[in-house]
Amino acid sequence: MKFLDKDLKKLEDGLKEAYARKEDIEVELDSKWETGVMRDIRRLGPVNGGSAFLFLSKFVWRFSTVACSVAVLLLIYAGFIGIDPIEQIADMYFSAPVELSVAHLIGE
Amino acid sequence: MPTNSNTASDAEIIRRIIAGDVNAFELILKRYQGHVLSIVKKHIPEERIEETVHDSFVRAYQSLRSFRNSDSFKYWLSSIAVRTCYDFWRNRYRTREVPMSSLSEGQQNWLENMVSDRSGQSYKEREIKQEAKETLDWALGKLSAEDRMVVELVFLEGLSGREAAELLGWSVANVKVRSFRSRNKLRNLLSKALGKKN
Repeated sequence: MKFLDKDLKKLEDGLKEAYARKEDIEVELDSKWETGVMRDIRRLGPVNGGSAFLFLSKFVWRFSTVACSVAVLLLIYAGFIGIDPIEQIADMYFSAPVELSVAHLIGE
Repeated sequence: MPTNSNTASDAEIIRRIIAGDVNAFELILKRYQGHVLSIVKKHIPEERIEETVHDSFVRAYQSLRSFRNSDSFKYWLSSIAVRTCYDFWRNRYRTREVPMSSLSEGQQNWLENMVSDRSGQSYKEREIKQEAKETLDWALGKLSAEDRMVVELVFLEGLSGREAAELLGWSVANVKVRSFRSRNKLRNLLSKALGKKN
């Protein structure tokens, strides 16, 4: 095991050297590259110029936990007081038949 | 409003960008492209470096409002570059673009020669470097994106757990645990490649 640890240490040192040599990779970021980045930046527009939708979208996820919790609580409550969704839909159907709803929608 | 402000402070330039002067971002780009490049080229395959540096700057621009003036902009930009590299690997693993090939004969030779101390004798230096690089890529390619980033930052680059955690936006405990496990994974990979039982 000791011998193996020594071997592994050598290999790890070799890999560290190989990793350090990555700094020597020659990549030139020329003016064409800069133009490409700036084109994308300009396309995005001013930092403060986001639409109201984008602004609101930042907050949507913050309320997702609360919204899900409320939905689960309502479901439990509905089950507890004995609301049967199928019965409710059947009730709605008989009180407002589909033909009548469609007729309302097309404005007859 | 100054326009030829090569000597303007980062805070001043950022203030101008946030005020709507999109072109001022070019100053940031010129000032820090070398720094971001030096980070990205350590983590990303050569052919994708330019594209990832590009993505890092676009991401920095989009996140500029979250930058607090009390922090170092250079450090903030470094963390964006590191996270962009991490996302690159996450995406690559998700789309299964990482090659799962076994070791080539040259890589196997490199491992054996490193262990037997023949590295400087029978091998040409250039060949050794190329095989070492390929072996490193092979070993890192066997790790998950998370393990890969931790191995690179903590083990290969020598950053502390706290520094790596700040760059990646993870907790210090997460980095420490992952660092320990991923290094063991790497050692197991190397042991297996050498045909020895750990």
